[in-house]
Amino acid sequence: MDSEAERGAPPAERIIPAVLAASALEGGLGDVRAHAVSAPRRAWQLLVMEARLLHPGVWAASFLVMAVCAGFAAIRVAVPEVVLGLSVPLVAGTGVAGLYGPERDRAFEVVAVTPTSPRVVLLARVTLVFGYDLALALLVSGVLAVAGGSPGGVTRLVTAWLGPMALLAAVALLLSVCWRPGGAIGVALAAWCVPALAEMTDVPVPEGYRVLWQSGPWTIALAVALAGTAVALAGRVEPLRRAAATH
Amino acid sequence: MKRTDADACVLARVADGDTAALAELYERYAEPLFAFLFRLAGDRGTAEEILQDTMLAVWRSAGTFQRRSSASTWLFGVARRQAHNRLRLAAPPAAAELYEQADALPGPEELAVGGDWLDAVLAGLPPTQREVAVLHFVVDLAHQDIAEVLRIPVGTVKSRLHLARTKLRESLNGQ
Repeated sequence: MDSEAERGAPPAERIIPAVLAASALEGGLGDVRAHAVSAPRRAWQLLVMEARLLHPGVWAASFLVMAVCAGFAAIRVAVPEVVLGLSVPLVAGTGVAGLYGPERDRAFEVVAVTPTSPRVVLLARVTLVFGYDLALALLVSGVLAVAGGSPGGVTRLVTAWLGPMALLAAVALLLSVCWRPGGAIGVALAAWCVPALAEMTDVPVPEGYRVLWQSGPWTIALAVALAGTAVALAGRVEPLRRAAATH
Repeated sequence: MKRTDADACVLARVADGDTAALAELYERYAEPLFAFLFRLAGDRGTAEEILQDTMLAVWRSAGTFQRRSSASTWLFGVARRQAHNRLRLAAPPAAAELYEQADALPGPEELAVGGDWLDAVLAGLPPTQREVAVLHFVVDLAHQDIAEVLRIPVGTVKSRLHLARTKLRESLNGQ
């Protein structure tokens, strides 16, 4: 007669789901320290996962716009500083504006129930999209400078777009969190068109506003402050659209 | 890749929250762990519960595995701790029930009559000798590994094994 032990251990199909269910019922993963990974590794894993969730069109659109602008600047259709100064902030602003909220997020419900806070998720996405646009813009600026397309060199090219890019992206992000992505993109376009048009036409624009959209330290500081506010508010404040929808 | 390295890699994946790795680890160690726990607990149901407790503890604490010992030694250490927790907390039967129903667990004699001589003899050993004997005769662990699992000196493992062997021999002679 076979002993009970010789009938073997229970199958994994029965034990493993029971273990995972017990773990979930008793409080997630139990001792958090046991599952803790180093902060850099966790950040990297989060960035990789969020990169998979972002719509491929975000990457493709930025790349196409930057490629077209680089082409225009390379064949001297327009001055490289003007082309990049106009396009790079808009690419970054529109890209960042669509990162928050259920309207454009295919995985919004799934992300909402993960232990990772919405602020960390938003920060990861902003890092990805803004970093991608920044890298593209630096690459294009470098190529144009090396190719002799810009008499002022790479520094002058970068200062033409860096400050406006950071500020416009921060404004768009804050509006996206507090209001709605579509509105954020519209406001970003309008806010950026005013100084851009003023550069090309004689439309009177207050000097302070014009200075605000340059690559100065105050512009960068304001951009960092606005972006930090947006990340801090993500998941904490009810967007204006939802408050209105309840009445 | 050596077995111990492979097991450590699987444990690292479990620590990262990989459920497939937990299932893989279970497939590798379910049989020897269950054999060990069955001999400690004495019945299949309790052994299954302790095995589930063990896998839950592994799922939650895989990140604490420091590779100071082999993965198998660590796993049996976790299983032994869970078994002691479960068996220590098991409430004794109520006094009234003692007279109303017979013990559902087979005693050593019953097991011997049933033909499972080793199980019967192991069940008759004191707990300290039983866990050493099971880890040695059933799970086939080395003295050093048994010492690490039970957190006792190797000399103590040998002396307990000697006592267990003596009783096994006496039992064999009495057959």
